[in-house]
Formats: sequence, C-alpha cells, structure tokens
Amino acid sequence: MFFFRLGRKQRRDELLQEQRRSTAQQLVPGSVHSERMERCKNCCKSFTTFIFSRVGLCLLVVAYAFGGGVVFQFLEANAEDEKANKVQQHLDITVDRLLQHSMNSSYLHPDTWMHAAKIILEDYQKDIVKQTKRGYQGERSVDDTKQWNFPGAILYAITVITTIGYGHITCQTNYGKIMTMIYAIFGIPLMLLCLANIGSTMADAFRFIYCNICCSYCNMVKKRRNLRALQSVELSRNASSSIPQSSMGTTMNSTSVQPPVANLEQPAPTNVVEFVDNLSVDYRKVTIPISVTLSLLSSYLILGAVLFSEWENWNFLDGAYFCFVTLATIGLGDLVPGKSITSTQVEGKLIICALYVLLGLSLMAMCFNLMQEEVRAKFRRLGNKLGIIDDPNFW
Amino acid sequence: MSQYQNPVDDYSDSRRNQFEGEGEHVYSNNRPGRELDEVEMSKGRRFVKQTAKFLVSHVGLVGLVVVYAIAGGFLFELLEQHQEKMNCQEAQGEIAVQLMKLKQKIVSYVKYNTSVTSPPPSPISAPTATYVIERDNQTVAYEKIATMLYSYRDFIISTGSKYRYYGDDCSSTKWTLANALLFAITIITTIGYGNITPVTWEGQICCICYATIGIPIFLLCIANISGVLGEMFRFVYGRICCGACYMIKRRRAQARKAKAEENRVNNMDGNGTKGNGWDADDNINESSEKKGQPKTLENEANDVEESLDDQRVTVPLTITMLIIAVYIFVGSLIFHRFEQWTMTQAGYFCFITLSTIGFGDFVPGQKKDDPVYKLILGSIYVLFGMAILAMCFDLMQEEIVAKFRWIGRKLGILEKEGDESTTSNDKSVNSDSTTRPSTAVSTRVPTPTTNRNGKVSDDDNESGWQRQYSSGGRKLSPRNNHARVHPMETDSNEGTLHQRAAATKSN
Repeated sequence: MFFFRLGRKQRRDELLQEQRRSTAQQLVPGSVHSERMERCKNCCKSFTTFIFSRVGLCLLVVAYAFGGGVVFQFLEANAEDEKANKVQQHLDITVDRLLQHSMNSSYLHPDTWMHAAKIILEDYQKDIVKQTKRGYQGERSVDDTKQWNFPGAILYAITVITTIGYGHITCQTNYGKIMTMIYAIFGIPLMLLCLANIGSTMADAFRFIYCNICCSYCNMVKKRRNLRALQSVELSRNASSSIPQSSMGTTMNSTSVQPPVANLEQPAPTNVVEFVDNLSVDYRKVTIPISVTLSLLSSYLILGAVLFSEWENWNFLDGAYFCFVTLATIGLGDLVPGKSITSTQVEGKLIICALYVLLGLSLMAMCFNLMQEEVRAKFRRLGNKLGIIDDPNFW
Repeated sequence: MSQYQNPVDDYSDSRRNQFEGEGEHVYSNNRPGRELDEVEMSKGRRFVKQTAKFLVSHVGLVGLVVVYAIAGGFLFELLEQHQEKMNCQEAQGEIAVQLMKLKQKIVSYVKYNTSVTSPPPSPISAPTATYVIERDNQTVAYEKIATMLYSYRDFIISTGSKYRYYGDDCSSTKWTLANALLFAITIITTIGYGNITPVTWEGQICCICYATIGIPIFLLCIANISGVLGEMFRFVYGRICCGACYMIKRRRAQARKAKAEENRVNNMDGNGTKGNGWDADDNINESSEKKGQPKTLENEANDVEESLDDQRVTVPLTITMLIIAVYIFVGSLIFHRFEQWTMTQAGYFCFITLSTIGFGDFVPGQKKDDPVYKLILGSIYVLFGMAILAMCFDLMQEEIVAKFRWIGRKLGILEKEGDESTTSNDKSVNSDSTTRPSTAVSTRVPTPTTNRNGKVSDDDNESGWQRQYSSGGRKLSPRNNHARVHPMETDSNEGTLHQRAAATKSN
C-alpha cells in the first residue's frame, strides 16, 4: 500500500541532491588543521552516503531480517515445544480415557462402547482443530522439523517488514507479539526506503538497456533525419545572416519585442555535432510503455507460479494466485509453500520463498517507478481532452 | 501609430506571461477596462470550477472506493457461498467415515488383543478361550492406539486444509455479506487477513482481477484524502495551537528589524574605510553587494513579519505519533469491549491491521452468533485508520526530512546551505528557477509538501495560495520565473547594458 509513496521519496532525494550541488559554496583555503577536518568530514560524508546508498541499504535489510529471525525463533520456539507437548498430552489423555472406559465396562458391548468412544474421539477432534487454527500443523512423518525453525523465523520476519503477513505462523506469546510490533515499526520504513532506492536504480538500469538496445535503431533513424534538417536550416541561415544583424542596431528601443522573437527560434548552435548531441535521446527522460512493464511483471508471476506449483503439487492457478497475493503484499496465507503436512524439504522451500518475495518486491518497485510517468501523462491528456483539467499543472 | 502600439503590446505581453498558467483568455484590445470585467466574471466561473474539481476528485474518489468495496462483497458472496456449503458437507462426510473406521479399528483391537478386557478366567473357561488370542500389555496397547490416533489427526488436518473445514456444523455459512465485504476491503487495502479465502477457481481469478483494479484506485483515493486531511489539520493546528508561537516570533522579528537598522548604519560607515587596496572590479562588486545587503536584511525582517500569516506550519513529529497512538488505543478499547480480547491482543490486532500486515489470527466478528454490526465496525475502523495513517505520513514527511538535514548540517556532513532564517534570500529565487524545470520534468503528486523555505518544493496544489513561498511576500508564480529566466539566457553580444544590469540584479 505504501508503494505509492516510494516514488515521491526518491524524487525528493534527487531534488535534495540537485539543490546541494547547485548551491555548493567555495571552500576558503585554510590551515592544515582545517584541511584535516575537511578530509574527516569528507570521509564521514562518503561513509554516510554509502550507508544510505543502494548496497548499504540492501545489506542492512538482510541483516535486519536475519536478526529478526534469530529473535523470533528465540522467543517462540519454546512456546511451540510446549504446544506440541500439550497436543501429545491430549493424545495420551484420550488413549487413557479409551482404555479406562474399556476397563470399566465389565462386559465389552460394542454399541455402548462405540457411543462412549465417539464422544471421546470427537472431543479429541475438536482439540486438534483448535490447535490447527492456532498454527499447529501436525508432525511430519518424513522429517520432524518444527515450525519455528530458523528459515521459518526468517520468513516470518520478512512477512512482517514487507507487510505481507501470511499468518500461517504467528507469535503466540505476549513477548512475541510486542516484539512483532516493535520490529514492524522500525522495519517497515527501512524496507520502504530500501525498495525506493533499489527501484530507482533498477529503473535507471532498465531505461538504459531499453534505450540503447531496443531503441538504437529508432535513434539512428532520428539522428539521420535531424542531421538532414539541420543542414538545410544552416544553409538558409547562412544565406540571410546579414539581415538580422543590421536590424539589431535600429530597434534598440523596442527591446521587449525583440528578445521574445529571437528566443522563439532555436538557440544558434555553433556546432553541428553539439546540436545532434542535444537532440539525442537522454535515457533518463525516456518513458517506457506500460505494456513492457506489465509483461515483465506477468512473466515474473508466471515463473513463480510454475516453480511453486511444481514443488507443492498445486495446480497452476493456485500457484499464480499465491504469487499474485504475495507480490501485491496482500498475503492471505491460505497457500504457503512448506505449510502443508505433506511437503518435503521445508527449509529450502522457505528460503526460496523469502528470496522470491524480496526480488519480486524490488521488481514491483522498479515497475512502479517506470509506470508512473506514463500513467500520469496519459491521465493528464485524458483530462485535458475531457475538459476537466484546465492547466497542465493539475497532476 | 507604431509608437503607440509598443507600450500596449508590452502590457499585453506581460499580462500574458503572468496569466498563462491559469488558463485565462487575454484579449488583445487596447482597453484595459474590459479585461478587468472579464477577470471579475471568470472569478465566479473559477469558483464553480474549483468546487466541481474538489467534489469530483475527493468526494468522488471516496464514493468510488466505497461502491467498489460493496460490489466486491456481493461478488465474492455470490461466488463462494454455495461452494462453501458443498465443501462443508463433503468434509463432514469424509471425517465421519474416517471416524467410524477408526472406532471399529479400536474396538476390534481392544476387544481382541489386549489383556485388560478379558474377563477373569473361570474354572470352566474352555469356551472363553476365544476372547483372547494374543495379549499385549498396556504400554504396547498404548502405542498402537496412539498410532491410530496419529493417523486420524493427520487426516483431520489435511481434510481441514483441503476443504477449509474446521469442525463447525454446516448450517451457518462463513461467506455472509458482511464477511464478504470485510474480505473485499482487506483485499483492496492489501491487509489480507486470510480467515476466509476463495476456494473456487472462479473466486481466485476474480480475486486477482479485483485486486489489480482495486489497489490502485484505493491508493489514489488515499493520496487525495491524505492531502486534504493534512491541509485541514495543519490549518487547525496553526490557527489554534500556535497562537503563542506567533507572538514570540513577531517579537523576534521586530528585534531583527532593529538589528538590520543598526547594520545598515554600520555599513554606511564602513563603506568609505574599506575602499582602500581593492581592485576596481572588486570595488564595484563590493558596492553592489553592500547596497544589496542591508536591503535584503531589511526585506528579510519585513518578510518574516509578513510571512507569519501565511507561513507554512509543519506539525511536529510528536503530535502525529500521538494521533496514531490515540487511534490505536481507541481501537483496542473498542475491540476489547466487543470481542472479549485482552488489551494486549486488541492492541496487537489494531497495529497489525493498520500497518496492513494482517496476519488474521485475530479478526473481529468471526464467532457464529456475532451480530452484523461488529463486522461493519471492523470495516469502518480499517478504512478510517488507513486515511488517518496516510494523513500522518503526509505530515511526518516534511518534519523528518527537515530534521535529517538539520542533523546532517550539525554533524558537518552536509554543506551549509546559507542561512536558514533568511527567507527572501535571492538564492531561493535561483533555486526556485532551477528546480522549476526539474519539477516540470519529474512527476507530480497532487499533495502539497512545500517546505518552509520553499527549497524542497515537491508539487503544486490546485489552490493557488499555496504556491506563495514565504520568500519575501513576492507572489512568485512559476510563469513569473520563466519570464525572468529568458532574459538571463540571451547571448552576451545581443544584450544591451540595460539588460545586463537587469540580469545581474536578479542574480
């Protein structure tokens, strides 16, 4: 939900950097001491820029997730053990009751026994269901892995900071709940910052690739056309170059009329190459069409769907549904890899799921970044056409 | 005739530059009176247009979201209800069958294999030999029965996850309209509890499409609402809570004005003494600078006074955090009362819901006999919470950015960007003119977040008064800047002395 704000934060950072550059002051040359201070300051500056730069943030997020995994596992593993013990206890109690009942009945009559046993077993069933709703998932016969193992705890931490929130495992202790809240308060802004940075980096890289590889042909054609146009303009300009300069002297008084007229034309280029360079496409300003970004997203979705449906024996629609719900950070939690009682190699699956989530969210941030301009331009055009919007500064 | 033309053309040109951005028509006739009439008439038109814009954008979006959520509730209820009934009955049937099998297994085992149920052997026990074929002692019996129960438990768990059946009877359905409405809301706000989920394939595909369309609509609505609410809150905060601050600032501004007077007197004295030993160019620069300096200081004092009325108030972080904390506390009180959760659980639920994590371990109104209003209450709490959270985000952004910059400057990491207190600094004019084109390139979001100095100026708002940066009470419209940029860009050989002087003055 907070992705919408990502673009604004990133633009704010860019604006800040621009302003800093434009208002940079000249440093007064001073003594050696001040030079050392300057070096120290520069060192600190570069250090903090690294911390807030792309790589630093990513590492910070990963470390935060790891740390969260450790903390949550520490807090919840004991509770899980206790719960498993309780379930086992209940099993024992049920068996006891059955046997007791059999012992008490002096003569084993099937019907009455059945009736009593039914009550006991239904009790047992209710208890299992209650435990299942609270997250108990039975003991796997293949490998006796607990729920709150380390990869599980990491996945839990990641679902908290990305606000996905599956809910297939949740903190049962009070300490766990409070820790979850504190972890989320600091983790969610950190994650958003990281995603904003990564999104802008990847968007730039993608624009660069798109421009230079996919559009090189278009660029060449445009350049050739512009070159020809420029040459014709140059010829006409040279022919009538004497006239404007003579009129310049006579109309000194009416200065207000001249400059706008002169400025309506292109500024006189001194060099043909310069002119062509100015016209060549700056990759930063290219807007990627929406179809490209949408196809990128859907291909990632389909890849995830194929992967997870293969592993978990879901059908393809279930896999696509899971991937969509995860990437949109809805996180319903009805389908989670490694959750069902029949799945194997749970730890590996959890790690892969965590990686898929992180990569998918960065991809989403990048596509948001790329799509914003297009969508706004389209809405503005639509609004202008419909006559709702008067000035182009509405959006 | 030509000489008469020029001044009027001048006038209409400058008018065109000023009003270009506001979509007004400038008729190029020679009577200025008629233009005033047109301005008057279009004011009424402008007001109507503005209210129409307001209604369409803000109220319209909220209404759209509400209608979308209700439609989603109907849709999902339609798709999922009958399938839920069928699943429930199937699951019940399967479990009953399994239970029967288990019971028979246990009975047979107990009857024939354990030693505890055999009757005491009687002397004439020859025919009783059929009871006992093989006797296990109690521990072995324990284990065997436990194994049977294990497999039964596994069966229950897998059936439960397959059919979403959790042991309730099939008379009441989970997919009521209120529950479906809550589900639709959790989808478009991306909370996603997961207590009920679509089971049919139609439901899943509908869920995907519904989310694809609904999430952007909701985000748009939230962005708009947060802007409006933020403005209203800032207004209230500024007018009511900061009356005292104004008085203090006014006193300080007057003191600064007195100091400016003093400085001017000092500079007048120092002008003559510093003239020795300087080059001619430096002298010219110094004199122009000194002439500019006291004027700017005095302007600054005047402008601080003037700008007190329309200075942009930034709400401090503590107030916004207090708002969020109060909302969570109120919510936990409500849900503690209605749902019989403890305060910790209710607070946990409110936090997890508002941060859109949405685990789903606690969901209001899920018990069988809960009245409908609990679910409606939950939905309304969610929607309001999102709006208030967005408003607080909006209010917090400026503060956080300003604080980080302050910290960075204090630590010496960032370069000093000139005096923060000077509001009519010509640097701000320059930065405005340089950031204007860049913001024209970058995208705009319809919420206003202009900083106190107008330095990090995000975007415009529809209402024109917010484009007044506090720099000097001069009403800088962006068009004005553009009109001023042009003379600076002319080539040097074309400019007269007159133009060059104007360029350096605006520098």
